[in-house]
Amino acid sequence: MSATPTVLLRVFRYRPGDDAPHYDEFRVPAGPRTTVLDALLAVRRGLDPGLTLRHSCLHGSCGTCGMRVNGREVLACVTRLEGLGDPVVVEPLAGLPVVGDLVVDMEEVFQRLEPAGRPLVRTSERSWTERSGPATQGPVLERLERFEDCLECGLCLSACPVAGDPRYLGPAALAAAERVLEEPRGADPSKVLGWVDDAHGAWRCHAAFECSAVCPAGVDPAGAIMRLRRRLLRDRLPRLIGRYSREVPA
Amino acid sequence: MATQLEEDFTEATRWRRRPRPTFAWLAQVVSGVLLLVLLTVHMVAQHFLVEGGLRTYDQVIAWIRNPLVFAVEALLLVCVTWHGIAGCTLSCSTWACAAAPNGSWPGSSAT
Amino acid sequence: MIRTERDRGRTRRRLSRWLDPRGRHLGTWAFVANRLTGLGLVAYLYLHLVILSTLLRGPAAWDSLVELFRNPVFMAFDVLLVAGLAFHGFNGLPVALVGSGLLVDRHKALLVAAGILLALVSLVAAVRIFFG
Repeated sequence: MSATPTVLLRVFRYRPGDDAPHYDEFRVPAGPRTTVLDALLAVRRGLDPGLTLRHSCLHGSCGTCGMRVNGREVLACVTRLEGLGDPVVVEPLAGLPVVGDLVVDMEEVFQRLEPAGRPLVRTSERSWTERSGPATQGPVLERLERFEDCLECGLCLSACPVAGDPRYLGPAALAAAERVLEEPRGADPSKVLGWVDDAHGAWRCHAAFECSAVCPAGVDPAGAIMRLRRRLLRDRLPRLIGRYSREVPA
Repeated sequence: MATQLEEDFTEATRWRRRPRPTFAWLAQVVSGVLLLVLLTVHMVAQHFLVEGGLRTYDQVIAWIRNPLVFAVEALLLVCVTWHGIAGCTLSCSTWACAAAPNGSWPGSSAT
Repeated sequence: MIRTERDRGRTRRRLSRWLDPRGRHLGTWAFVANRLTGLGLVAYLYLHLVILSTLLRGPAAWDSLVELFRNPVFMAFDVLLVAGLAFHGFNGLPVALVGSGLLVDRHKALLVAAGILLALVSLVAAVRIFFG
């Protein structure tokens, strides 16, 4: 009978009050479908009940279990251990205060998103039956509401190489702003445009595209930021020229 | 949900309140493109048109006396100084080695 | 650097993270290399101006410096300089285009094209400098 394959987890540990963080190692069973979250929960159940982590939906739609695995931002519930090597290094998201072990304080993520209004529903993709007619198989969907893609998981902010500056709005907030410009939904686009037209807004991005690479929901924040910049240039450049060539009332 | 921007970020007030990061970005792009052209001209003229690749003292003086050459080299110096200082300011502020004040000039925007 | 109680345990997002190779993509590497070459070129600019100031000391000082620069070690540095310039310049084109909202979907292709141009220019420069 062959032994159950195992994987060594190197897990970041920190409690408020500790002088410094450290890493603990746990060897856990790892089958072909074992996810990082499965392994961490196995640690909690059998090895160290004091390990602090956060999760919710278990299928990659809530964004709660965001963390760094081997240096890369992922959702732990949908990231399989297979192919990650041995040991697997598990750390919390970068740049955010650690509440305990793998749990970070997401307040800074939400504060950056707040001014954009955090719209939830894409009004342009609301009703299934209005656009494409009744379904021919299975239950008929009378009404479908399409949510915005962003999970507000914070992976993009962690991956961004310049988000260490707390003044920078960050990829998620800028992508949300771009969505508001695409679909105002009662918001004033000029206010949003003015908000992102800042040295710490859309112009802070360095086009590393790391945010888009790690986004689990296909938001493409980097693409959104570049679209914002194009819009700002299109909007501001004629006024910039006008301002310096003649008197333009404020 | 409507946006909840507390400050008035409309065009009129923003224009008055801080330097335009759009202009800083455009300046960085324009100086960068100019540098591509000017540096190519500089490198080819200084190092690939001369026997041995390096000009002697007399060759340098004769070369720089040309008013067109002097103007091009001066433009190159201005562009590289602007582009370099803006880039350095941005790099240092990104590294938090030296916090750039909000809206500092130049270097307010990304390269 | 830990400053406050709130900062304790916050995983560092400083220069050391830029050099952490784990899990990062082409775009981040291009960004880091752009920063490093830029800083290197600024340092070289001031060194270059200091060297050019030798012209003020007359032909003998300048010509002896030129002879020194014909040393293969300096010629190798020249190739490195050209490579650094070429990288910063050619990588700057995708940054300028994409950063202005143009050709955003072609970001990776632009980076690859910049890399090819870099290799070509560096090769031509190396051949010209060492064998020209």
